[in-house]
Amino acid sequence: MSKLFNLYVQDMKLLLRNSFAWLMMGTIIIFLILYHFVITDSIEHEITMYFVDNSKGHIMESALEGRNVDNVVFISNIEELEQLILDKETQVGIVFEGTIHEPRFTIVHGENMREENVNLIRASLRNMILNMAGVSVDAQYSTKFLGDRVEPIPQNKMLIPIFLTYEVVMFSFFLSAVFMFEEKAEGSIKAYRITPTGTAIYIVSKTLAFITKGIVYALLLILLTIGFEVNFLALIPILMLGIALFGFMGMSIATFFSNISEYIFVVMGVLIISMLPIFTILIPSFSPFYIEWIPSFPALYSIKEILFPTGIDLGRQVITLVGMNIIAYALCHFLVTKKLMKEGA
Amino acid sequence: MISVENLYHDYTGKEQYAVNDVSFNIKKGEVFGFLGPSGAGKSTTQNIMTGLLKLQKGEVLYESNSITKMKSEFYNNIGVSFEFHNLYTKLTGYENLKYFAGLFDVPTADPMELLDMVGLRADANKRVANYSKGMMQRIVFARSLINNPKILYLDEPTSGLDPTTASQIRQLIKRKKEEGCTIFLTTHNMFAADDLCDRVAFLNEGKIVAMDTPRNLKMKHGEKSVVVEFAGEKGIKKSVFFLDNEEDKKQLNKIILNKEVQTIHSQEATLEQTFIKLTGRGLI
Ligand SMILES: Nc1ncnc2c1ncn2[C@@H]1O[C@H](COP(=O)(O)OP(=O)(O)OP(=O)(O)O)[C@@H](O)[C@H]1O
Ligand SMILES: [Mg+2]
Repeated sequence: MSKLFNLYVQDMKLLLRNSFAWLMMGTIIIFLILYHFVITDSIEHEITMYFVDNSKGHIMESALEGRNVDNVVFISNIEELEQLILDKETQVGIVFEGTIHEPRFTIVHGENMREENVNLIRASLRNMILNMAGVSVDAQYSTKFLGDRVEPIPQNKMLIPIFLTYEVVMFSFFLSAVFMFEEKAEGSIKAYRITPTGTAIYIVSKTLAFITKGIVYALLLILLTIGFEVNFLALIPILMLGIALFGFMGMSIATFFSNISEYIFVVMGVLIISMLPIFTILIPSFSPFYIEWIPSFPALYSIKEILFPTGIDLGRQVITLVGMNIIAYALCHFLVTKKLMKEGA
Repeated sequence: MISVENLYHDYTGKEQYAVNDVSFNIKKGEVFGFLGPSGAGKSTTQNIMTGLLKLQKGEVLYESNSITKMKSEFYNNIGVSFEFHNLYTKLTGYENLKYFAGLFDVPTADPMELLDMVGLRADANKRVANYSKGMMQRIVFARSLINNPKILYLDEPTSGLDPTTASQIRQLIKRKKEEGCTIFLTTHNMFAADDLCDRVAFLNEGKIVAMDTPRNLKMKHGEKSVVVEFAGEKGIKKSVFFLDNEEDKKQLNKIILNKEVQTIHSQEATLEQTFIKLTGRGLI
């Protein structure tokens, strides 16, 4: 334990004296300027929901007529809806049949729809019917129904989880490699090898240093944008898991390289793939099956949900994050031992 | 105590051995010198002995335990001074020693005292990036002593140091020997080797060509020689001739007859001459 603390203090000092780490501070300042002065909080363009009302007397159509739901378009038949989906004009449409007491909904959607989203629509439909029948509604579901659109998140606020994920969390991917390359170039890693301290403490102490720095930046960023009204007790563990995950990944991959100019291509590649989940949170209907397996997904998704709760249970995301951490640590431990702690192995 | 048996090492995978069938023993409390020109395989041997480099072929035994089976606690007992200055340049000299000390399970020396010993107290709080080569060399040496090691591996501890500082470092090595430390000393400085070592091994192109006490080596192989300075085509040239070598004698006669000789000195056998004689090459 004292060895870990000793090394942690050393890594913190190295971090504070590393110009790359201060780069992150610079990007945060740029972000704050963008957030407060450049990007407006205008609400993004709404997605249209297509409805086919096959009930007798078109009860749905008439019930919604008086309300302010101009992103709902009624079309006359299922074939037309299916064509719209095939033409990729929309991702999802709803067919209503039956009566108000015996409603029957069919959700028609394209290939890339996550089951979760289908369930959400289902739940919202149920609430809508209850509402129409005069039963009071659980506000959560009705919020979710028009696809986050009853209380939409302003554009600039939406940037916060994105920035937290791609700047604060993923920076450890870059930083862990920078650290390793520096130790390789200075040879200080050789000095570490002739001590009885070993791989685990090497990895964990660096990770803790990255977590410390990441959390400080994240708190700074949130306090200067959203303020105090955030569930920090949920957010901090998610940030820690995310930072650790990308730290482990960065260290694992960096064992194969020796300088930043070779590694930068890896960073670009990983960054591009990791960006895909942004589309999923901006456009929930874009959710190909592989999206949840991109390591940035559970972090981004959870951070967004914690900052702007919509009532989704994050259990699965947390389990995914923990699972990914275990796998990434195991890989990292193996590679650091094999490739960094010994030569000619 | 330490026994190296038929050690080979091939970096290339093409059977080009940097270390080629090297065997020797080091007794407890002994200072064992490992001498040879650049590229002879000295550092490679040391790196295999300390477990930094994977053992490919042969064996390294500590009290009959193989280095390949050594637990991490092994590192509590050894100190290593590297030929390259592998320090954290963003940390100060003091910080380098302090955090390094924190990695051991055994009582460690006071970093400030060690810095003082190698004459770096005044620079303790300077970042290592601002140190001179010699200062880095000294702090790497100081670092190797931090865990009060029982075995010391010193790879060129005095290279690049001014004579006064080099002599101070040699005094520190002697002190460690008096404390009972076993020392593996790699160097191309024959003078230091003669001064410090109980036994030396001459390494050339990966092979040991001779191994004995410095005194015995000089007696056995070193003969009287003369150093001649004469005017060559490109200024003054200096050559060493061994007097019992027929070829050398012929050469010497030729020079005396044909060239403009400036000085002739006879000299006692030195380790350096012994080495030149055994390998046909100089030490640098
Ligand atoms: N990492 C490496 N990869 C490939 N070849 C190497 C490596 N390290 C050393 N060598 C080669 O192995 C041989 C022995 O090198 P080594 O460093 O052991 O020599 P040395 O006796 O310590 O020399 P010096 O006095 O210059 O330090 C040299 O030919 C060198 O080029
Ligand atoms: Mg060497």
